Amino acid sequence: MFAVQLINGLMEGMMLFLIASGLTLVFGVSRIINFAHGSLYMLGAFLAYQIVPIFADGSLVGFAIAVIAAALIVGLIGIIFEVLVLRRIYHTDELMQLIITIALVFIIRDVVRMIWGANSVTVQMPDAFIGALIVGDNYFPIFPFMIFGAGLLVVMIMIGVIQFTRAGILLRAATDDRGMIALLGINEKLVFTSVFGVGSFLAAFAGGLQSPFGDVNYLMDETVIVGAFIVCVIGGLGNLYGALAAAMLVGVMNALGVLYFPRLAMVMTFLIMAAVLIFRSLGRQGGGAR
Amino acid sequence: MNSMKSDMKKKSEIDFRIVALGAAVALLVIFAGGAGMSLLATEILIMALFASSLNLLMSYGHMVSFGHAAYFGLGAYGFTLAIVRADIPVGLAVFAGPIVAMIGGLIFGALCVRLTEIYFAMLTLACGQITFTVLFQWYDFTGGDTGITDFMTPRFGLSEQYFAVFTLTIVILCLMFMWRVIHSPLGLAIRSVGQDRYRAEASGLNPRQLQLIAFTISAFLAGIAGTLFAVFHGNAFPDYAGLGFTLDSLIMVVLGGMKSFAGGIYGAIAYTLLKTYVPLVIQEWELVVGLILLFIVLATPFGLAGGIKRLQTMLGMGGKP
Amino acid sequence: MNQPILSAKAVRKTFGKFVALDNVTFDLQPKQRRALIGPNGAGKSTFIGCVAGQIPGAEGQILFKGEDVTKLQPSALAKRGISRTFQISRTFLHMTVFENMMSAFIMARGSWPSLSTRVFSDLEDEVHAMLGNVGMDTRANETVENISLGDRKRLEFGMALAADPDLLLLDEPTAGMSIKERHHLMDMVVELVESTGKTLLFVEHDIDVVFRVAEVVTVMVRGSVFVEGTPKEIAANEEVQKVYLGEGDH
Repeated sequence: MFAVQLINGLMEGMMLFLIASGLTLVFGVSRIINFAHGSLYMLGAFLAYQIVPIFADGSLVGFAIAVIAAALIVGLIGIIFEVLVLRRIYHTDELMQLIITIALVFIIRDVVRMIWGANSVTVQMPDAFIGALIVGDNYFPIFPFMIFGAGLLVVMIMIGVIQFTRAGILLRAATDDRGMIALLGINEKLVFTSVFGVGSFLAAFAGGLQSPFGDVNYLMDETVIVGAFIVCVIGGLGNLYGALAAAMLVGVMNALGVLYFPRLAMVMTFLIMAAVLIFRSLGRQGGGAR
Repeated sequence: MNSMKSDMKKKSEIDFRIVALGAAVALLVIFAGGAGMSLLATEILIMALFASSLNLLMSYGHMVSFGHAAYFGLGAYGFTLAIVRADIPVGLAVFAGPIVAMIGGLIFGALCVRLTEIYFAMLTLACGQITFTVLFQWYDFTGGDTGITDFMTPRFGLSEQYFAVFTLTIVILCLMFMWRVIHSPLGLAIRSVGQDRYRAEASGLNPRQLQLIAFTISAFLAGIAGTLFAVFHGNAFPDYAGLGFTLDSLIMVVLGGMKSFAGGIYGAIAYTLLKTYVPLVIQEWELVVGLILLFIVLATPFGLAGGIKRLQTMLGMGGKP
Repeated sequence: MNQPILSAKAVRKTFGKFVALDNVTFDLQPKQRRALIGPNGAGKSTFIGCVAGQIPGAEGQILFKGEDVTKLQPSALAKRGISRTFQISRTFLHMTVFENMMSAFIMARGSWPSLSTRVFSDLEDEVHAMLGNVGMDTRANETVENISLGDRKRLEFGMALAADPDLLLLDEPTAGMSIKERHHLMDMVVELVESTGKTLLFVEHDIDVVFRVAEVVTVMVRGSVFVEGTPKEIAANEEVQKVYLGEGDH
């Protein structure tokens, strides 16, 4: 039983990472806490629901195309939002940026309800994903493995991009030091816009990928965003590798928690989040006033 | 010299004409509008107190809480649990709510003020979610997601109108208290820390201590609002401490206007009215609220209160903020 | 000589690998007016921050009136009699000039834990007097946001004086001012410091101002004390001139 839950935990962790990666990426570069990240995830799930039937229900390729198409659409929506709205408020109060993204949460939620209604929908699972592996007495559904594989692929692509491409170098420079972009003679606006686009893409990709696994409804944004915050904070805001480790930790802890201390599982993650924040504050007392 | 002396003093005094005007409008709505309007007015009043308590933190202490509903929820549960689990009579239990909220604020606040800016907000979020989760999952004690119901007659059994008047009285007293705090030496110190903690620190103040005091007062006021809400509906649910109520309070403050005392009040009125009446016209009231928020942030960062102030100056009224 | 009011012994401060202060040893006599000069990045502001507590984690020892204050918080240092202004002036932007000064007084006196406006009326005359001292009384009702940077510097100086400190640290008090404003401000500083018998340590880039105001000048270079002397000695010191010409002054 332990092994089963451990594996389930890693699967969930990968999912959490996919969700959180976009959030932490955007924060790292633009210092924007995007409350609407969960809403973009939800949008990805609904778009996948819409697109999957177009490309042959049940086929693996059709599913993959649908998920990527959904993510691309949402990425585009993210870019449009960044250009039309966010760009105007980078210089203002952090709070105003948060409020803007909260406004987006409200807008997306109602638009989703307008288009797809208030009831849950289900996305058909590709045939290749149905079924289970049976190892001894243990029964492992295949689908989570597929998600894990897809997640791993995304992680590898990300690491590849970050470590070995020009865009990755820029990204690291921008995360470490905002002034750096200007020094390198790069258009800062372009960097912010593309990062927000990529962040939105990742959110929707996670949403689409996960969509056959459970109900898709207009209320899922809140749970998703809270989970993503937890992972980002534990991993260190803006730290992608930290988010990966944190996602695995939270995923495994949730899964094992359900087994051993079901009542405490939910509160544990928040306690860890709080503990991480407080622990960080011990490291840097005072601050650098000039 | 004398003119300035009176100026500082005038600023800190409560203008009873405005209090009377506000009360008169509320009473008119309550008694001319009947039972239905009284319920709406009660809700607005409670939300006005809740939002104002957050406004104290945000506009004056410059602390953005993402878990403010925790203290609203603790107020509601402090009150109901005192009745249900400790058999304390209702008349005494009403004091338990705000006290529990205040203690919660003191404990969580002591942790949160160690951090600043976005990390502060994230820790308040964690504290808020811890509160919510405990209320949600501790079935034996809090009743879990089914909440606590049927433990008292809602509104102490008062008629809608009399309870609205009761709420009005409490809310006015609380807001007057808040006004006094903000314009007292303590309030000046809180505002100073909010505007430049390094200057305040260099002048001999411990910023965290001041922030904790502000946090605790704010939690206490939110707790009163939560208690009133529990009395109003005769129940308590974990949602009262959830992210939904937290976002509601944030939106009300931004809608009503940051940096102004009345921001929370205007915001509560506008938000509750939107929530009540927009659905009668179109179903998508959240969409409307979202668009209004977008507009406010992009066009008038100081919300309704900012707009009203601008209108007053335009009409040459001057007036109080 | 008396016991120094401020004494730094082998103070060292690093930020990661960067050594901002290295073996700074420094004695300041009571009632002295001392200037701290040096090229950018010499560690002048960092030193002020270490003394006043805004920059924690300095190694070595900082003694104030004979007491080891190296690890104290800024608020504790303020209570012991160290007051400062900042390089980029720090004031409460959304309050009036009067409220700023009132706030400085109630913070310095520790009379803030009160809900009574009596505290305000009791302090009112002192607040006006201090505003008068720094020439800001006529602007008492203006919001700080709307006053000039020079006026903010004067206000902040008054706020630092409100604590009636023994040691006053001014970090570039005249930065961003016109020459006329500079001399005007520093004349006022000298007068107020003289008349109340305070010790003054200030960071300044304007050499004219330094030579007019300081009794002793300390030159810092790359995190260490380079040389110390009277303005005349410093002006005649070829090494100092080389440092300034070599590394450029701002």
